[in-house]
Parts: sequence; structure tokens; C-alpha cells
Amino acid sequence: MNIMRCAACALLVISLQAGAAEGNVPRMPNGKPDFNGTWENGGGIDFVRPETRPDGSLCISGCAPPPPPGTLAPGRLPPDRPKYKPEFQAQVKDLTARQQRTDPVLRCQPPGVPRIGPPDKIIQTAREAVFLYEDVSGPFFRIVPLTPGVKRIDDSQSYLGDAQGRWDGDVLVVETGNFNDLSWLTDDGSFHTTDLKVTERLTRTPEGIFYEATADDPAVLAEPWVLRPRVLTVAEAEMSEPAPCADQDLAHMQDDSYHSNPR
Amino acid sequence: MLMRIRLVVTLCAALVAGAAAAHHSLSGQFDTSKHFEIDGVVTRVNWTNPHVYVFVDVKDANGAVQTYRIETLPVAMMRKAGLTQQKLLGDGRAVNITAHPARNGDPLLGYMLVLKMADGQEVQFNAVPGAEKTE
Repeated sequence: MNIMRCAACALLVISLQAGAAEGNVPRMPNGKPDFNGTWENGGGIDFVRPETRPDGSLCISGCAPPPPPGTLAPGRLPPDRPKYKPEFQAQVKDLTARQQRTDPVLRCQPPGVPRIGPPDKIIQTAREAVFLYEDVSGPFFRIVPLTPGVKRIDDSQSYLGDAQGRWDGDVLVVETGNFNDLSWLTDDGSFHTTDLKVTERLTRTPEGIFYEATADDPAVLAEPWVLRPRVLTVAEAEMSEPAPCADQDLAHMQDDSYHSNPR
Repeated sequence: MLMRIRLVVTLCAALVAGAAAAHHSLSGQFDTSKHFEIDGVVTRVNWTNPHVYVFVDVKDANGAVQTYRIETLPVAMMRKAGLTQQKLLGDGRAVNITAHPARNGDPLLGYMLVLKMADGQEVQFNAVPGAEKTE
């Protein structure tokens, strides 16, 4: 049933996306859509909704009674996970069961792409776009050349890979490869190989950005993983320097309890 | 158009919403069925990810000082709530903290549930369990 619902959702999103670039969107001097700005993408903590109570106290978490069993709290979304080939599903299950010891992010390692999520800030010129991230693991950047032929000196495989941008009409398409295999796609043991390719599509709307991403790793995935689309809106505040990531928790962890790391 | 997209994304989330167990490592570190209270002075705030740590000096009955280490939320959640490192550090006056006890038996380690600041401001970081206090 969920598959049918997801398919229906995808059709709805696609039909809307087709018209998303219509209208009066901000544009660069070269006529391309202007993605410059600091963007609110939820940061994976949409479910955190601080509230000031009538007595003046502030409540950040646990403010409402827990939701009934089998339901999600407001702001919580169901897991969005890739599908693995049958021969790799046991490996994913094992990594998930040992997540406290195996998840790179819990040791402050870079999250990789697409786990890092949409950018928090974009700086765009005619030649390139720079994606900036304020992440729990630290500050990260990705340089997205918009013209061919730009190479970095050290082309070693990396957590964030090598991105190349191109225009599909008014849609900014970012194709990234040359990843190492040290990150996960999500927080559920979703390992990948160095064959991973990620395609992001950014559509400028009058009020924000419609962000889509697909991760494909044919060696291990049963099918390309189309992530749940995200809507980015203009941020009310400038992005901040991320606090340093210095894990102090794992030393007193008593079991392999699952630790969600939503983004 | 954006409004239409937002509507659909929200609708999609609702459509695919199903049973999803939300686990967190909090229970792997702390006894979430219990809590304790301390009164003391915040002397340091480690403004770090993945979690912020607050250090609190507490005097016992004999006047000896013990330093508690209280784990709390990630920086992003603090910022979303308008809290800063300086705000948590306070002004040197005593605060009251309710916390979960650690499962590893360290009596000076806890997880922040409620912070009552010296200026009267109260902040709930997580729900206080209905279970009896550890002390």
C-alpha cells in the first residue's frame, strides 16, 4: 500500500515540478535562475518545535504527550530509505544493528552526499555555484562548476565527491561522483560503494528552491534511490559556524541502541 | 507555485506516514525512567556537537564541591530554541537541574531534562518521567 501511495506522491510532485520553474523567478545577469541566498531546509529537525508556555517557560522537546503507537509525532516523517539487492540486505541489517559502532557520523565523520542534505547557502556566479553546509559534523562546502573543464589538483575519492553542474532548461542539475566508500546514504547502515553517483535537481521558484536528489549505486542498490523532495525557503537568519563535533557520548553508551540522525 | 509544492509535499508525507519506531540512543546512555535534581553553579558549557555538555559545581552537605557533567541537546536544536552558550552559562548564580541518571553508574553524569535558571527562566529539554526520583 505504501508503495502505491509513494507512486501517487511521485506523480503529484512531478506534475507540480513541471510547472515549478514557471513564473517570475529571480535571475542572474546571464538569464539563468538565481539560487544565491541562505536557505532554510529544516536541517532534519523539523520535528523540533520550541514553544513558550503560558507560564513563560520554554519547552524544546517532549512538550506534547507521545503520539499513539504506530503513529508519528507532528513534524516527524516516515523513514526514507534506499532498497538494496537481496544479497546485501543482511549487511545493511547488521550495520544498522551495530550502528553505535559503525555509523561514521556518530564519530563526527563527514556525512557524504546525499546524507548531508540540501545546502544551507548557495553562492552562484556564471561559472560556478558553491554550496555551503552547517552540519552536525562540521562546516562543509561543495564547488559545483557550471562550465566544463574545471578540475581540482587532488582528485582522490572523497566524502563529498566531485560535482559538475549543468542546466536543464531552468533546472540546475548537479551530478556528483568520485566518492569514497566511507559514508552512508542514511543512518540505517546504508553503505555504498565508490561507484555511487548522485544527481541533484534544483528548481528555483519565486519563493524558494524545490530540491530533488537521486542516488544510484548499481553494485549494491536494487534501484536508484529517489529521495523525498525538499522545499527550501529563504532563511530568516544567516548561517552560523557549526559547533565543533567532538563526541563525548559513546564512552558511556551501554548498548547498541539506535541513534537517529535525521537531516 | 511554491505554496502548491509545499501542500503536496505535506500531503505526501501524510499519505506515506505509517508505523515508524523512533529510537534514540538516550536510553542507551541514561535510565529514562528516573530522574534526579541538583542545585549548583554552571561553570562551563561545551558548545559541541553532537551534544552540548553543561558542567555544574554542586556543594554537598560538607561544603565539598562535586562537578556534574550534564549532556543535553545538539547545538542546532539549541539555536532553534534561541539558546546560546552564554545563556546556558548564566551569570554565576545557582541553577536547578533535573536530569536522567547515567546507566554506567557514574553518579556525576546525567541528561538534562529541565533547567531552572537564576533569573527564573525555566527550560524543558525533554519530558520528565513520572517515575520516582533516584534519590
